[in-house]
Amino acid sequence: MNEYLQLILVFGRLSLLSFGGGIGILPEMERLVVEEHHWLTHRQFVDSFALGQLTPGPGMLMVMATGYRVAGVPGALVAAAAIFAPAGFLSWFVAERWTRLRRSTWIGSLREALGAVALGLLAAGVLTLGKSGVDDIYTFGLTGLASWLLMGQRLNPAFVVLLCGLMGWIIYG
Amino acid sequence: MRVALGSLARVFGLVGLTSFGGGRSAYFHDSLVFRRKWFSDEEFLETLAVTQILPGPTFFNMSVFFGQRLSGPLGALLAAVLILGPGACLMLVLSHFYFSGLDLPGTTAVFKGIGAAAVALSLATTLRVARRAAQARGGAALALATFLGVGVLQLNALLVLPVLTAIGLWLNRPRWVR
Repeated sequence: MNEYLQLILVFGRLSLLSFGGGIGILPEMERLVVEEHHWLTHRQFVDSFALGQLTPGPGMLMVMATGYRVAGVPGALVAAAAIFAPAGFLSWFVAERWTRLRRSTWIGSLREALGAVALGLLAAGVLTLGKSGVDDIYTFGLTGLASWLLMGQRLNPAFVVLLCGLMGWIIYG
Repeated sequence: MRVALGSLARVFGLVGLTSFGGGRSAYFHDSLVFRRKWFSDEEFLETLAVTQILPGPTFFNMSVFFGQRLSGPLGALLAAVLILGPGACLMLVLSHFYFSGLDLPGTTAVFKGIGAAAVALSLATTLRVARRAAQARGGAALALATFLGVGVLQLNALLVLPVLTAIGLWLNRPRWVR
């Protein structure tokens, strides 16, 4: 099958499943990108997530790395369009009708249900990243340190990512 | 509140360039509510809640939502492009270097460190929403089932999510249906 079409099918479907934002969809994305299509290795997948954290805008821009790997610059653009367009269209659709929709009593129910499902997806996302991100005592300690800096000290995530990169360079370089 | 496309472009263009890191919705609160008073606090929180429900990154959904409310369909499109543009350009450059194969010394070491940061980031996001999400009726059980199905058993999310969402909807149905 045409590689652009495959990118559209994979990321377009992920777009509509990404409840809980970017991190919640990581397990399913990994399943498709690494295990089913072999576009990236497990390590490259985690690295592409990190790249997404270094750039401004949504971290979901990480899919451009996969697209680039598959089909160069056009592939990267197709992957980005596929993951953002469906969700974006849905948001636009709801915003356009919002004055009417907000009166529905099911909105609250939907929020409760999807909030719980999104929490499970987020926890699954932690598992996906942890499986290859934490593989020895150093990365375990570094994860603890980074968690403390993010949650305890409320440092900017992009800064914490850069700091951990530096620490990695010192430890393993 | 309706604003001209030009003013919308200036605001969203700046957010697209500067929104590094998590908690990105704070950038919108600062620029749209605090500085310009285009939306009230209540409208902002309502938009945050509804864009969290919708699939897709909340921050991206919010830009489309606010864009539509401020300047109609063209505003929504312009907001999306401006929020994604700068990050997409940088991502192209980073991807190129990452896959260029010119194996710079220390790259693997740096990425091992960054990988640990990625785990911490996802953990922080999860814990931030945990208490609120577990308060739903059957919330903890639904979250656990989702975690087991998608994370541990790696079942197809396309099958797992609709079923669990339907159960959650029914458990939390509006009073008049009960």
